[in-house]
Parts: sequence; structure tokens; C-alpha cells
Amino acid sequence: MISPDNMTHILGWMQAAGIRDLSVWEGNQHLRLQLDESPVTAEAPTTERHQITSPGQGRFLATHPRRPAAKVERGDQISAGQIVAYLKAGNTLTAITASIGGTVTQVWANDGDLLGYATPVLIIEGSTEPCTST
Amino acid sequence: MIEILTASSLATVQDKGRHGYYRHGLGTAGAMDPVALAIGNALLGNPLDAAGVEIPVAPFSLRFLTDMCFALTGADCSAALDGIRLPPDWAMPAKAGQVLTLSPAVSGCRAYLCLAGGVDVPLVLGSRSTQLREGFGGHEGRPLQQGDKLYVVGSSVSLPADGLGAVVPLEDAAIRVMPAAEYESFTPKSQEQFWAEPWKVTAQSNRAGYRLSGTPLEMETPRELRSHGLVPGVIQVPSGGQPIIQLSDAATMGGYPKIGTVIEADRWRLGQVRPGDMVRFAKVDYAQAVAAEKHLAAYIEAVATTAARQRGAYERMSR
Repeated sequence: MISPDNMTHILGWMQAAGIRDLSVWEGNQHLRLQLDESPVTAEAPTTERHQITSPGQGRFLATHPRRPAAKVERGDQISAGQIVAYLKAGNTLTAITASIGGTVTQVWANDGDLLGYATPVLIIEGSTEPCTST
Repeated sequence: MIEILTASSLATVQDKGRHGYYRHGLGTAGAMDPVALAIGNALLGNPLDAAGVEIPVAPFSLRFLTDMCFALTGADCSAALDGIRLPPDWAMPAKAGQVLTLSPAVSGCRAYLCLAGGVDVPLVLGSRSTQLREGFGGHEGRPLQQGDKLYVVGSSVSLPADGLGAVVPLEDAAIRVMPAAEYESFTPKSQEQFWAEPWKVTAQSNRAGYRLSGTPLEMETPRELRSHGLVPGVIQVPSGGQPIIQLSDAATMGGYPKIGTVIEADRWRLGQVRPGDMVRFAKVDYAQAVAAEKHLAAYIEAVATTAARQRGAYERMSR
């Protein structure tokens, strides 16, 4: 009834409209979509604090399968635009990218976790200094 | 369009190869790792047999002269686009003026650059592959040089700005081989040793074939054969007992006894083996070879299907 394609579409609409819980029944099939409350919204984030969320659905991979050593961990310095983790769907990967440079202060997702659209992945404390790429 | 800035080695335009001209003594040429080429094309939504650039040894760099999507697969060359590092087996959009740089490979031996729509060089005898020995096909029938400009067929594909990647098989298993016509003429000890011992890929290895070294293989009685047809994958054993694997640029004829043939589904793995590496062989029969080929084709098809879905989802989100 609902393909993974238009599920992404629907999740986008839910986000835009602020809908957190959606149920669809068709025959004997039932689909429920729930957007998680972000774990940090309750903590009143400061402007330098940035939450990186999942850009789509898939399994969280902390490292690229061919570069198992390059793992981003709490305390790491990263630069804006840097890939911090991957999302695996079937045999394809998409990147989870840092939108700002700074220090990783929290990693929410674990290797193999099934993430939904906009699931919080990690927190970056932004640096005010210009980013130097490594 | 792209411009080659540095090409220090035999980088050539290749597709799946020029098939059907064996009777005229013309080999197939074609990508040494056809799976990497197909995966690059799959990420970009290209026909799976679109032509790309095979890059055997870095350093290699090029400049995009127009905006286009590209994919880089095969060997992990720590590639970077304007200094931003790319993951292996990755496709992404590039802007006109951006420079793609490949460093010496940390794993694998040949990288493949695919461009949205495919590399546009003339079709010669049904293929865009460079026929190095005969000097035709590909870009002017020769390896790429500094200053060469390559056109693309072009396509309207759009990729996520951060790119789209593929998960490739990482098995480090033995190369699967079917016994060939003269297998039974080798001594039982040599037959056993062929499967049991590791073989070193020597420095005398290129697109035409790999020379292996190990304990010499012996025949019951040395045999002289008339020249006969050869195909890529055939493992010949000259009188010294050191095997030679015929590959993409192999001659169409040869006279050495053949101990085995690397199955089609594993030939791509040889394309990523480096001189100095050790390879092992595992014995399979025809049915297993056909099953392996179907399995590989299904994997490539699955990547193409999922990649298309991912690109579609991205396009709808960005509208």
C-alpha cells in the first residue's frame, strides 16, 4: 500500500505540518508513523549546539564498511561538511553530514540501529573559530 | 566535460568490452573490474554498460569543466573533491571547476570513474573500450594524457548533495576456477597443489594477463599443443610450470596447456589484485559457476534498483 518512496514523502509532510503520530488502515494492513521527540528539545539548546539528524530511513553505520577505523566518537573535532556516519538502505549508503564544525558531545545512535527520518544522531558543540579541515 | 590534469599511468576509457570479434582475432578489452564499473553506473542511473575511465594507479587528477554527477568505485584511492574526502564507492554532484584527486590506493588496484550518462567516445565495433594493442576505441585508441578532454553523454540525474554510495562485496575468499581441458594431464600432486597452495601475483602482470609464481606445476608427459582459442580467465601453464591468467587484453590464441578457467563471476576480483598479492583457487563446476554469475547479476540489479529509489526519494524531498 505505502511504498518506502512515498513514506519518505509522507514523513516530510508530517514534519512540515508538525504531526507526530499518523495511522493508516487499508484492508487488514495497518501502518503507523511516529516522529520521535528529539532527546534534546527539553534541554533548551544554545545556538552553538547543533543536533545532527538522520536524512532518511535506514540502518545507522558509524563507519564506512571499507574504512572501519574512521569512526566519529564523542570528543572528536569535526569540520562543517564532514561525513560523520552513514545510513544503509539495501546495498546503498547515504551520508550523515555535520552541518557545522565543532566538537561531538553526544552520539545517540548505535551501529545497526534502524533510524527513521529526522531521528537525532549526534550533537555538535559549535566552535566560533573558522573550521580547519583535517 | 572533464579535463585530465595528471595521468601518470595507463588510464583508459573502458566499458564491458568488445564482444563478438574473436573469429577475427580481436580480443574483448573492457574493464578489468566490470563490477566496479557497473556499480558506478548503477549509482548514477546510467545503463550498466556505459563507458567509464579505468584508473590503474594513482596519482590521477581531473577537473570538471561542467556541472555533472560522477561516481568513483573500485580501489579505495582516498579520493578528494576540492580537498573534501570522498568515501569509497561513492557518487555525488560536482560543480564546474572542481578538481577530483586520487591518491595511491589503500585497497584494491583499479579505480573506476563513471560520469552521468556515460563517457562519450565513438562506438567502434559496438564498444567504447580502448583496444590498447590495436590502438583504437576509447579516447583516440590510447591511454589518457594530461590535457585530454572527455565529453559525457549527459543525463538529468540528481543526487543528494552529500552523495550516494554502494556497499560492495568484501569477501576475501579464494578465486573460483573450473578445471580446463588439460587439467587431467597434470600430475595428481600438481593438481592438488594448484588448489592447496597460494600463488603470488608477480610484477609481470597487466591488463593482458597476470603471471603467477609458486611451486612449479608438472605434467605427466610434457605436451605440445597447436595454437587454439583462448578467453579471458583461462589459466595457462607454460613449460616452466608457472601459471599465467589471461585477462581483458588477452590474445585470442595460445598454445600452452590450460589447467583451469577463472569463472566469469570472479574475474572482477582479479582486477583488484595487486602485484605482490597472494591468490588462492577453489574448484567449482559449471553449475556453480552459472549460479555465481546469476548471484552477482542479482546483486548489481539490486544496487541499481535501490539507488534509483534513493535518488527518487531525494528528488521528491528537494522539490
